[in-house]
Amino acid sequence: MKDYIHNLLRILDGIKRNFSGFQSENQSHSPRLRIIKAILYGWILLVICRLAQLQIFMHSDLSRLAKNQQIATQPIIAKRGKIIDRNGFSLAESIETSSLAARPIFFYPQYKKTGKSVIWGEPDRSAAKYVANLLSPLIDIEASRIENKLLTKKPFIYIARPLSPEITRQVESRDISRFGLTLEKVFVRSYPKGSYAAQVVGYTDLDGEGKLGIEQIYNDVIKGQNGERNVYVDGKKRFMVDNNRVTKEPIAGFNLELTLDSTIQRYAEEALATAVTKARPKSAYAIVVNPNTGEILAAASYPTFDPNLSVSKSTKTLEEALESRKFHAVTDGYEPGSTMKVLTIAMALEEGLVSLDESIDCKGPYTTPFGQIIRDHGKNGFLKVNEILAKSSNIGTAKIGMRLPKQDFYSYLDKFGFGKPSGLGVAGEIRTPLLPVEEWSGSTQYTLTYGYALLTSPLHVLMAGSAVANGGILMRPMLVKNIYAEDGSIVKKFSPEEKERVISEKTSALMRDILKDVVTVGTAKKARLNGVDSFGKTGTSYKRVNGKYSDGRHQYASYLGFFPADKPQYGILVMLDDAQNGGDGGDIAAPAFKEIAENIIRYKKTPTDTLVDNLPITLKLGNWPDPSPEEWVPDLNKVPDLKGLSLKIALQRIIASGGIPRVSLGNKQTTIHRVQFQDPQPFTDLEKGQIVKVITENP
Amino acid sequence: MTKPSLPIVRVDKLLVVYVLLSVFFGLWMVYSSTAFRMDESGLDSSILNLLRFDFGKQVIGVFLGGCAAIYLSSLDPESTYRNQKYVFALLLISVVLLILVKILGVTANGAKRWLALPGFTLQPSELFKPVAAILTAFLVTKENHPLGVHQTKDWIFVSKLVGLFIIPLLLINNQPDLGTVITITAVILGVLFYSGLHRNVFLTMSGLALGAFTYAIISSPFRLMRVKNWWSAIQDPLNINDPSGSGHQIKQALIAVGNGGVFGVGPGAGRQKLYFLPESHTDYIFAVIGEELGLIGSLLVGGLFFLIMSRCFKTISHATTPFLKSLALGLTLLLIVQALVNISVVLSLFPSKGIPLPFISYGANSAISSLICVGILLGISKRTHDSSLS
Repeated sequence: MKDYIHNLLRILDGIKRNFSGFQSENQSHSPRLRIIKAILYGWILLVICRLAQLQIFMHSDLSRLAKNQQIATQPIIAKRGKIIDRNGFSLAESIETSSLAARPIFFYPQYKKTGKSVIWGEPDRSAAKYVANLLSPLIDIEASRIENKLLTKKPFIYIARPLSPEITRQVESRDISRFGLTLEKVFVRSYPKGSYAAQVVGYTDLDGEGKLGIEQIYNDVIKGQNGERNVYVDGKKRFMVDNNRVTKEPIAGFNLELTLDSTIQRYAEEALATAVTKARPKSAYAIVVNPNTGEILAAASYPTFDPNLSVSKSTKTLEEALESRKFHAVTDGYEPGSTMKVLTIAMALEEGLVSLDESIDCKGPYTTPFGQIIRDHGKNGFLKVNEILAKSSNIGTAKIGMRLPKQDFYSYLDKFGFGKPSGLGVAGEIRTPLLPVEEWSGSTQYTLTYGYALLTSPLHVLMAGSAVANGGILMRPMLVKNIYAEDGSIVKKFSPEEKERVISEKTSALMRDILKDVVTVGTAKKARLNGVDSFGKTGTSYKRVNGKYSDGRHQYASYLGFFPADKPQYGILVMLDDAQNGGDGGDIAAPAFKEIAENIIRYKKTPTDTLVDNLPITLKLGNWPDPSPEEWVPDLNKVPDLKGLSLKIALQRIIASGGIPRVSLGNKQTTIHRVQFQDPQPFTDLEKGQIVKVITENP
Repeated sequence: MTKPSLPIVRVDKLLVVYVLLSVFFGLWMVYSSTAFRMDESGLDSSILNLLRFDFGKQVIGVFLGGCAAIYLSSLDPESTYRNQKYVFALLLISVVLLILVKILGVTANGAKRWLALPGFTLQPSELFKPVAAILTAFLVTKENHPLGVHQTKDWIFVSKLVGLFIIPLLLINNQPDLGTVITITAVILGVLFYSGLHRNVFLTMSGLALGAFTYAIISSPFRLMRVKNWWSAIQDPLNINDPSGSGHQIKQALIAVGNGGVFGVGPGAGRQKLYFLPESHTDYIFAVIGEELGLIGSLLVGGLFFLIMSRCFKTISHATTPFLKSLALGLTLLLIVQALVNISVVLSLFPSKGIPLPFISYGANSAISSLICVGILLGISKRTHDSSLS
């Protein structure tokens, strides 16, 4: 620049000496005109250099800046996978629809962003009003509310989400992009079974993240991977419809097949509802498992919720709504009480520390060497092991349980899975470690034998009970059977997993046998099933209220039952927490077990059922010769001749002919029965579903 | 009038061709940078809608300017413009209009430059541009002795000239429109220099003008900010001062030009005009050209102006009287300096000024004003004693 001025001055100097303006003779070569031309040429040269600098040498840098501001990356939401039950019924699925979003900047013409400070200026209210009035009838929201949303001083807001597919189409038909509005593809999570198994299946929040149960545990598996799309935007941050380019395809989430059986789930929900209406507990749950595999077939909970409604939309108070959104069966701790006696007796039998013939003095109250007083319900004398369980004697159980050394007792509890995670992977699972033996006081083992001094979840108790019932093996609880890809191919198959053997087959068989007495003559007569033998144990434990056991007013009433008794296929735990109308496990939990179990029996006996092999016929065959199954061909619509058959065979034939058996037992104490009498008579017409009564005699 | 008019030689056809090319190119770019707004308003691009929109207004402006140019080219410039009454009448009208703007003007983008007439918005500062060229040429040839011979006489002459120009220029500066004031001042200084003004007087006047403009800039925070932003863009076009605020426009212009590269992103395909680049169809239309047509298109536009400039200089050389030479130079400088200032602003070689690109930027007033200049130049080119010009 300096040189340039210097040159200019030199030329000017020359002009002074040899002046010639336009008056000069040679007009076209006036030196001053030449200077003017030179200045203009120089200027043009400068412009060309600058153009070259910007358009050639800085092209890539400036082009990058252009792309940065002209192209925005939008996520393409991946479709969340389905959750289905073991029979293929949908428990959760995603339906495609849209959310209506707006960029309020569009309505602030003076919007300016200077560094970090943002000036919004006055909004263009008439434009916002116009758009609000246009949208209001479409999305059924008051125009004034839409207007307020449009004028929110945020870069991006949702006006309505999600919209139904029908409304989406209507909104789409209006050219909304010119108002800075966009429809974003979203998926709405739908739960066809509503509140059934809601705590197990879980729910998703508005952002599509799993918040409870399976939706949460397997969130990463179901969620899939969002894709990306490059979208051109204009200076007002509005999306341009042209030239969208998908840079990353979304990957749909995997589908999950659960171990749940929707039908059994319904039975559990209905039975629980009945029990809750009668007993009015604070909370309650019923869990059905296959004790042999650990598969959870149903898990009903009270209070429950409808996962189709968001927390804010439910009618309950927020606290209630959040309380219902918990998988109580694994997140709530309780002292199991008498159901624990099953495990105590099983340990003693396994260790050979008690025999079935031994009579134990159960006179109460019994004062332990450590001064603790143990009482039974009612007055008991000398009881055998089966009677101790049937009458749920605390004294008898404690005396037998104390025969185990502390360390052994502790290690059995550990092997039964207490104090460790269930393995289900549910967030917030109760996890109170077992008290180490060194910290046990004199009375600890006494109280442990009948189910106190141990905080655990109902699922833990059910799995431990299943180990006693299934031949002695603790199974890992299972909720997911298979993971499928979108095309239906199996990604992962889950198999039942044995955790460890706790007791022997023999002890397990003994336990199955003696626990039948609980149902037939003991505390759980209300759990007795029609036509199928079952076994189980009631549990009634005092709740600790403010650190003290509240005598009878606040208690956990539970029933842990299994059927069919000989080879259990189903294990059910029903628990009612703090029933306001009172009642112990045998009164209020056992009937729910009965309702669920009998429904399952009916359900699994239907002729179309493929699981006919699993017919829960557990009655033993007699020691007389029964005709072999091959000799008998069922004649539908005719009542079979049942006289003289073992009850077990008779029941099979009634069912195979299309009837429903109703049994009156001659002697309820045994498991061996022979048909003495039937109604209707043999070979008369039988309608499908007609009841066939049989009366048995003891052989 | 005392001299007989020269015989009419044919008009400078090449100048006509170059100007027509520029004008049609300009219409194309105005269409390109405004048509998308029609879609947004929900209008289809039928001819009727097209004419109702920005593009249509520009077509009307160009048409009116063309008519004016044809009419003016037919007048004898020597007898028409070298007429004291006539020239002072033009000056008076200009001043009155500028005062009316001051009182009744319409404000847009923080400046009061327009008079709203039924169906038309008049920008008197635009029309004052050719008037300034005529007035300067008239004044430098009015004295019956040549400039540059007696320094004292030159001083007296310059004082008279400043006295006549100071009022309209102050009125324009007050709008505010310092860019137009600087452009007109540059043109006047160019003509004075050409007409032989004494070196000392010329340098003093230039220095005074420079001082006045410097004062105008540093006394206004927003102008100072523009200079600061410009200086940062000179140093590093990728790192502009206050890029999301006052530096936004120059940043977006540089991105547009740079994004075009050598070949451009294609006609109509530019995206910077989509509300990234403010004033993309008016003062910053060269950035849209740079983005859509690349270096090639930019050089093409520059080339057109270069050709127009060469034709104009030919006209100057062959003009028969000092008055016509001065007038031709003034009009030429008006067109070329505006073009160079505009392009330099877009490329951040100069701080931002509100100067349109003649023939190309959107704006009927600018189109008419520029075409008036061309019309007078054509009138001068007709009356030369060199038939080689045609």
